[in-house]
Amino acid sequence: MHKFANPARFLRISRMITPWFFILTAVLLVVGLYWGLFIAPEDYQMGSAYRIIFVHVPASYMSMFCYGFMAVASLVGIIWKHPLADQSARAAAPIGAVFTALALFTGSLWGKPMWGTYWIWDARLTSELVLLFLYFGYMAVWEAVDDRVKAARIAAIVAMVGAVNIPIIKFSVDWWNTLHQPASIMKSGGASIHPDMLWPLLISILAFNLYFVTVVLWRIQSLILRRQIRGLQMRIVEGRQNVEGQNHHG
Amino acid sequence: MASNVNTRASKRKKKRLYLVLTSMSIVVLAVGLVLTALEDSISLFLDPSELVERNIPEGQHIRLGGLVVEDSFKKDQDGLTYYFDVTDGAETVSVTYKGSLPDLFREGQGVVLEGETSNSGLFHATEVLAKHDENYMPKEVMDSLKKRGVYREVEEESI
Amino acid sequence: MLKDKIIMGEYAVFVWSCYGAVIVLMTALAFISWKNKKTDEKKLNALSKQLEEMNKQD
Repeated sequence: MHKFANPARFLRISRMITPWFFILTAVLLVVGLYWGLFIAPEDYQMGSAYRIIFVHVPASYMSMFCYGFMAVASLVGIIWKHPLADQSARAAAPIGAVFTALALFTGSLWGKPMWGTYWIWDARLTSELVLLFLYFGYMAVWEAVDDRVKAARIAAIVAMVGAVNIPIIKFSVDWWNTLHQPASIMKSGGASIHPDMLWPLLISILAFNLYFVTVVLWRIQSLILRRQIRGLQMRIVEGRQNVEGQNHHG
Repeated sequence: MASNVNTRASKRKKKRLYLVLTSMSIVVLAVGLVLTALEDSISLFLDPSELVERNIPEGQHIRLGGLVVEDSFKKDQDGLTYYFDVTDGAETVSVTYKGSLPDLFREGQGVVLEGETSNSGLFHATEVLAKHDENYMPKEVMDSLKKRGVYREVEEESI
Repeated sequence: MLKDKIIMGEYAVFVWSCYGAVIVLMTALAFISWKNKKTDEKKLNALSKQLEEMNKQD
């Protein structure tokens, strides 16, 4: 476990694989979105408006996945005290926030023509909005607390407590009356979406997943590099002080 | 010596793990209790059965949700006022509404209405929102399902 | 035919805005993350060179 979590080894491996992940992400994203926009058949009720599904569902799914990732990484960080775990959680937060914002925005633009409203305070929409604020809160902790060890601990607690919201989002449509419809893909009895529409959707979801892997690896690399930069800066300052001290004595 | 340090470290790890698991269980329990207590206010709407059961007083602003009954939709002569029935399978409520309807509004589909009951038993809606179900399929597939008479059965089952 | 595909009934504004927002935001985030990583790599290299030279002077 600790061997894999060695920052230098992590940097080397992730530098090797990110270009490939990036290319795969770009290709699948283009294929998925093009298929969704132009090839997939129209829905029998919603016509072309349903094409928003090919961005809305992946963004919503990833908004929850990302938070789950942060919560697990935070748990590992708090129990095993490995900095790489805290850095992974921290790196994922802005990505999750972007996915959440996109889920809310695309959902709103889908709701207007179909439901008749941009927004309603039902359990699904409200809990997704809470998720956005959780991401903001998590990122604010890292910005506000100067002591890195303390920041990591507080942020980890925010991530783990906030994770309670994830099952609430997922099951809100089953537990309460909502305007939002129940699940179409991940439900008992198989997906209730025609294969001609399901395939581009699955490709799009895969592309969003790969996007997350690519970008989170870049961001973790950045955080590791910054830690090393701070270390070097300190050594340079110490070196100068030593030289000055010697000069003074001489 | 080294193994001594190791066991002490792993004991601390175990302690932290139990601490996190315990606090998380408490958080989950607390949130669960709050959500159960607030169940009524979290649910977006009442269905017709609940509306009848609870004897909602006239003029109280509520949301009502259900399926629009087939062949119940009528337009007034002014072309702006609509009449239709909303059902949950057990109870049915008649609704009147003046305003514009969302694109997805149709008979057999779910709706969520905002408004109040009147003394005549008619529900005066001030806002109509269409609810979408979780089914997505191409038009041709739907047509052939209807032709084979499969769709009807599915629909009746789901009510 | 192609025109029909692009117009998408009366829903074009909604559909295209969604795809537009997704592409713009995701590209921006990816670019910023990559760019920051590049800058950090350069900074680290410059600093380690500086440290090496300092050590040589000693």
